[in-house]
Amino acid sequence: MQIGESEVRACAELAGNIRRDVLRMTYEKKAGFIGTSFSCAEILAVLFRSFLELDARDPDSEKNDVFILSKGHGASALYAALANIGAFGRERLFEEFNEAGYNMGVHPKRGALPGVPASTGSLGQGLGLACGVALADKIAKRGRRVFVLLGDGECNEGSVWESFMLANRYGLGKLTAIIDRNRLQSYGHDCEVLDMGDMGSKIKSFGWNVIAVDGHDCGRLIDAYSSAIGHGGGPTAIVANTIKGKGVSAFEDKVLWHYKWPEDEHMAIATSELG
Amino acid sequence: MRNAFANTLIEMAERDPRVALLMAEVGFSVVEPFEKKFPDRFYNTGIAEQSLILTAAGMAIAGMRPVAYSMSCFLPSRAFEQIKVSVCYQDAPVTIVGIGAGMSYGEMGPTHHATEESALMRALPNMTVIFPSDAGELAEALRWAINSDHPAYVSFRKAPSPKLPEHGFDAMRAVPYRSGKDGAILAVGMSVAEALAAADALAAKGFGLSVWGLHTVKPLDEEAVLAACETENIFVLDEHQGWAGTAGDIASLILESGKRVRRFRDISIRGGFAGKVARYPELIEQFGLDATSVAENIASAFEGK
Repeated sequence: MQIGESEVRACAELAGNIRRDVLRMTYEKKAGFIGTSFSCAEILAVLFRSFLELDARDPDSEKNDVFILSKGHGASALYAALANIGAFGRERLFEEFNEAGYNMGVHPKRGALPGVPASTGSLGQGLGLACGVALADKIAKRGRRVFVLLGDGECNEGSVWESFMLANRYGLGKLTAIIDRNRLQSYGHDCEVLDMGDMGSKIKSFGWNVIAVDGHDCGRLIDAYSSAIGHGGGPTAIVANTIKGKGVSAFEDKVLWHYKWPEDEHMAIATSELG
Repeated sequence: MRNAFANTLIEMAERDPRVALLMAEVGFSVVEPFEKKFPDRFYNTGIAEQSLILTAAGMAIAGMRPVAYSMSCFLPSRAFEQIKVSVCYQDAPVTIVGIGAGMSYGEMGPTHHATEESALMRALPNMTVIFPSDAGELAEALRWAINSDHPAYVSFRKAPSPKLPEHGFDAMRAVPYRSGKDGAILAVGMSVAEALAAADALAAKGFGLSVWGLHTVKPLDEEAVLAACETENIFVLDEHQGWAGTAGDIASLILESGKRVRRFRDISIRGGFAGKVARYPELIEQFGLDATSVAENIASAFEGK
């Protein structure tokens, strides 16, 4: 697929919008996970803008491609991405997120909002769900694609590797898994926890097609998604190397910002850095 | 029982293109005819119960009616959180089927016993829990569960089907097998045959017992439980752990209804794992769940012991 500079710029702009919306949501509603949401902003922006075939006027149609956010604590980024492509009104982000009586929870709930097909938030389940959807599509001979975004810390869960094996065994070629490789978990850096090391090699050894990419470079991400979609064989994993909290220097690569939401004192600098 | 399982799935798959069978490396010499007939709707997920449940849940949210099959001792416990979140929280129409309910894997030992399955599965919202008493009920339970729009857990004994009196099946209703004035045995699924034999032994001693079969333990047939209270003596027979057991649900229901009973006994498994090597009939005897022990237990209740 040939995608020009203007599309790369538009994707980067969407990533910026996602970050700005997430910043406002987490600040105003005092909830959500800003680090994980910022690290996947470009991953989501490029996917939602340039690759995911999703009719924003009918986001839950069976004809649409499917996207599952396996790292469910990144929900604020998912909601922002959906709102920015028009799946629902953007103003709802600031009214409903983490607000009692609404469905826009800290973790996504199946069917609660247009374009949210799965309930996630317990790590290690989204890849298996995506396998099931891809398998059902294969049986029904539906041509749509299934994308799933995992965190690298999430890959500590054994269930993820069970699903990697299954996807390869049953040749789920319409399935693309993106690993948000930010190397920072909720208690420490990956290398201090289980040290997942060369994740690309690990996944490749499970029979997958693997692409490693700078997960904040929209142009490279466009190439990676194109290559995943063009791959004729089994499933593809995109290992997207990212920085947790990317976009605001004070939030970057800090465990604290896995949990924390911005206070007044962070807002001026965050707003200025995000532009 | 296993043949009823395989034959009913073939029947359902013929009728409904949404039906698929997924299993985690079990079913040797049972599921092959299904595999042969429906190769594109048969999947072995390997020895990976979490993946089995997740894949089935994904198929269900994509519009299919998957049946996820493994052993009762492994599936609900190993994949519990996947069942909680991906099946029950999403209210995905997955039929989870376990073989080896209760202690029916006998001499395979406590690793292969599933006495906790009832407590685990009954604790989950949106889940219907069924322990079929015989092959006929297993077939009916599978038909009902696959046609339902919600999750179900169906677990059956690793044993030949007992020969029970002819009876109908309604997933939401207990089965009234016999009626007596002195007391009522409410027997969960696989304990029905023992309950009927115990009632015979008690009849010979002059005690008339009603026997109700509870294939479905969640939701409970409240009407049947309250009807059983007319006898004022309730005996619950269940080959599962008594902790968080069905007898507790029945006791709560009775207390909340304001009905009065004179005697209530929870005849279930209390305590530890099976000890020395024992076959299935020896195990249920050790835990007081065979007909003779049950009859003695109930007689002692009437005699005030």
